[in-house]
Amino acid sequence: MELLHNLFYGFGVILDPVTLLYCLIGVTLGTLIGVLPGLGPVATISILLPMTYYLPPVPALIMLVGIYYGSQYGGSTTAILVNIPGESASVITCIDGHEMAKQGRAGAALGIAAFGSFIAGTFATFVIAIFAPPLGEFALDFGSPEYFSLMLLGLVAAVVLAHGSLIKAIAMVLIGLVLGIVGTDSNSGIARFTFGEIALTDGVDFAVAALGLFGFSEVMRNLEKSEKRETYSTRIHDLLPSRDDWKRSWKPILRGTALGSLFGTIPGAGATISSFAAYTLEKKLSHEPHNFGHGAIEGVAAPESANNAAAQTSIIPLLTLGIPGTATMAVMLGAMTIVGITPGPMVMVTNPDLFWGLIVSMWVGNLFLVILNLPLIGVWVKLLQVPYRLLYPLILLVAVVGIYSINNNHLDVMLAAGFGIAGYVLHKLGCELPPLILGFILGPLIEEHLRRAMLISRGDPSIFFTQPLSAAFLAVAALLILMIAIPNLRHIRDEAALEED
Amino acid sequence: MLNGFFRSQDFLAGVFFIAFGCLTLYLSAPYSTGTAASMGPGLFPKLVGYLIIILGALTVGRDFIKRGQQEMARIHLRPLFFVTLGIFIFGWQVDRLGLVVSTIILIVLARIGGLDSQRFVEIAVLSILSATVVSIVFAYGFNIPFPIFPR
Repeated sequence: MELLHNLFYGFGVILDPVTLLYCLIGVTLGTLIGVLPGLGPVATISILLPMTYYLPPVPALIMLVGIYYGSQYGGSTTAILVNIPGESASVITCIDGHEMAKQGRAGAALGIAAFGSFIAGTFATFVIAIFAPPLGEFALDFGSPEYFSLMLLGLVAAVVLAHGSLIKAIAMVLIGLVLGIVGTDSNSGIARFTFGEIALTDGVDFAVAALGLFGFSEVMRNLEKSEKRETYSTRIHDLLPSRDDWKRSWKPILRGTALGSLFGTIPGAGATISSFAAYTLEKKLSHEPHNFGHGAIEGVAAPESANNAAAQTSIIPLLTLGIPGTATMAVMLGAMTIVGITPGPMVMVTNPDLFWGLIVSMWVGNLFLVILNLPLIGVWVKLLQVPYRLLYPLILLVAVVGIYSINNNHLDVMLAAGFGIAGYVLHKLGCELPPLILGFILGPLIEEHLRRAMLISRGDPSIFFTQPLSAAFLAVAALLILMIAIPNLRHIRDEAALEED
Repeated sequence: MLNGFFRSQDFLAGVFFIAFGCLTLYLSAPYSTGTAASMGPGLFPKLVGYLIIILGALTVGRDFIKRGQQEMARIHLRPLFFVTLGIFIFGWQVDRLGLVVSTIILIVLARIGGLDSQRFVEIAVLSILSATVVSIVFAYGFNIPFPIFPR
């Protein structure tokens, strides 16, 4: 009953008109960037980070998280109608979704994607509401050794599941750690890596780094090829899936939801890998696997449910442990820090309005999304016709004005330009940026907990292995590294990586 | 042969890692290392710096074994240069030139960075329109203390 009580409390938070408005803005923006190819949720949330300085904490975070799961809805629209993933987690939806559209069943595909996502979103909301509080309570007893090992585990999981070379991903995490500790050292008061710049004594602003690395470099990458976009002109009808569609889809939706909810909580997995896993699972279980690739509705229902569920449950590690599992959640962690909230098990106790408000907002947001994505589908189709050459200058403009407004400091804008170059070149070198941003945000924390743990143990590093929980985390981390040697898992990972590019 | 290495993705990435690690070590040299029980501000960065160098060496070494398998993806200088230049000039000059002029410069440079054919009327309309809107919304609406016009 406590659950119900808490959910009602959350409803009280979200039903505040201002909060509700920001939730709506968040999911609308999410749908918008989901529909538009070439602008992902990480970049968008980074671009809007500066806004959080000007908003009250709860609506700000509700809006930002809405962008993430909202983009999962929007992404499927583009995938189905134009065969381009609007968002990386919708890559797999293109296969059968667009095939269905070619057969004149675009409406059914869009409908099942939206309803599947809604069912998944509802389920995921409950998963979070049920599992997050006990996990948070469990984490309340963590000391520094546990936190250090847990963060190490989080980083290992993130690199194991990142694409490309494992060694390069680990190096990127370490580079992030170094960039993260720029500024005044909290223990000794010494300014590190600041080159004598006063502006750097507080460290490199997270919003500046994230915006440069993700926002600017993404725009530059999109400009490499000139734009060719197939437009979809046929009228979409029959958005409601037929009885037969439902009969074939309900099981894939449930399986996708369960799979996505589980994968979302694993650091590094996130929405994209969930959608691939769900598709692969359905193809394996199906009696007619040859239908996949030729417009099988199961191939739309399962991955679309999975990616939405995962997008939501990926907030669990952040809310309860203070550990971001994906780049999007790293940016969310940055946002929480900006509004003055330290993520971790204490959030539940000190900011119950944020905790429960955020959880319930996801369900309300999903409700908004079904309305936004089904009856208003025509609007989004129209939007697809807006050429990128009109959009990206505006994206850049909002970004630079946002960076400037953080500290009213023009140097921040120039620093972000530098991060943009770095992000672009590193991508060309096959170095993934999400591990870097995870390292960046965890850098100061991981150093702090390492220091404290070593202080407790009087300099004996074996403390990480003698504390049972800490040892368990390290064992799982080691296991994860071994797992990548298993050909099957490596295969799924590489396949997902390949498609994402 | 040598040329192949200079274009190999892993070779270049490894060299970058090694350089970054060395820079980290160099910069953290003045910070005291302390003892294991009471870590100084230098210990963690030094530790990480060494690790980065090791990983960089591994990346380069693996590339030697694989003979520079994967070539580096092509860097498109045009968007990289013009987009960055636009952002940079905006940051550098917005306090002097004001929001309107800086916005126009940013948008024009950003468009030059694109590969699509340059449509002058469109760029003019886009830049002037957005300069107007951004001035009204951000400077007046959100009260961000931007100078609007050149001073």
